[in-house]
Amino acid sequence: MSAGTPLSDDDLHALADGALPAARAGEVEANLTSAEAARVVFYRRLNNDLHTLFDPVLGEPVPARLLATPYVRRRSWPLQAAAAAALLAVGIGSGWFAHDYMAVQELPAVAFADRAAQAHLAYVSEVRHPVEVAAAEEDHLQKWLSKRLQNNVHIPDLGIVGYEFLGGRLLPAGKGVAAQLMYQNSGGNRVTLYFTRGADSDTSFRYVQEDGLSIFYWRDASFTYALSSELPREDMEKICNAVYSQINPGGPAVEW
Amino acid sequence: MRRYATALVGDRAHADDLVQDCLERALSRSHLWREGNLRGWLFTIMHNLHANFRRRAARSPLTSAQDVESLSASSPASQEDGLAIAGLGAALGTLPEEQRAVILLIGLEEFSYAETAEVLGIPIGTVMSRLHRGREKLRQVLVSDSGPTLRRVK
Repeated sequence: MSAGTPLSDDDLHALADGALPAARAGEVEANLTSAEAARVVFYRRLNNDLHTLFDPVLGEPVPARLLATPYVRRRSWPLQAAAAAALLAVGIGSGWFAHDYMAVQELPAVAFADRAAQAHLAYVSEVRHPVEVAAAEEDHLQKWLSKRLQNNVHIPDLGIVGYEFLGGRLLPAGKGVAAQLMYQNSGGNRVTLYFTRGADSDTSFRYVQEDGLSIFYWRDASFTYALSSELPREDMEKICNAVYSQINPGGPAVEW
Repeated sequence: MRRYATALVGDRAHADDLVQDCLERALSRSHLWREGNLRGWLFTIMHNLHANFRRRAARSPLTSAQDVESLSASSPASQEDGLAIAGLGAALGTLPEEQRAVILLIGLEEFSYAETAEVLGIPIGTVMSRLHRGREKLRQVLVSDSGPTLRRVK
């Protein structure tokens, strides 16, 4: 056979998983040593046996508790239908959820994270006007935002995680207003902290990834917050901890 | 999803909790789903939820071992396959979860390498190296241990 690219471990896995283009698969197969062939055979058997081991779950009746979702608020029809159709299309089950999951539990916090994401995307790429009030006027900004959000605003210093404060702005948020603070590190990465009035005893952090954005959102006694960036989750957690510990010195432990 | 959750966490009750949380969250934020691979999106949510759970569990000494021991007990396989299958379940349980997840997403759920990378939020090179390390570890355990155990399964 022709001497193609030498075989790598990736080739062997891809051959077993049927992930190679036909031409390359033929080439790989023709050049396998017996030890390599044995590995491919094992990988294929492994995939097969995983189905033998776990496919029975598919045939089991779905527990009743999975079918019972608290009815909170009925959504608009198109969305309900889309969600139900989407779930059906995935083939998660055989219709067991279609009825009960029409009753959708809506978390206002999620809509909040979505707004924070939009605000982040709107301003983070601005070169000349990323903020309305620059960091040089931090005191003024702090007083102004506190007044408009009707609660004492604390502007965290993120120097310990390498982020410099750029400034902030006031934004419309539904019937009220929200604030956005922007930070930047030496590499030009920007992080925004978006918050609005809204208190809750649930201080646990929630994480969502959307359109390449990482967003952590949480609440404390005064505000609901969302921290957004394009950073990987691990980096975000560090920044998030820094923000949280400064806003809530000695506050309750973070539920990750 | 129940199949994957069961395979990933081992514990049946916890697996169903995970699926339930995932479906509720997916529906409550269905407006965040724009386009593309819905199945991948659902698995991503499930992984994020599971990662949160693990992080909490890591701080309390209660959980962690139960994942491993219940894996082999979770399958109602026929007696004929019982031995080999139990061996595979137990061996899977000994893998680091990051390797187990990759092996399951690719081998059981039949996601492509690129989709797996997306679901887990890791580079594709990392997917390949976890896949390789995990499968090789299983091969050592299952093939050298008591002969070619896997061969018993049709």
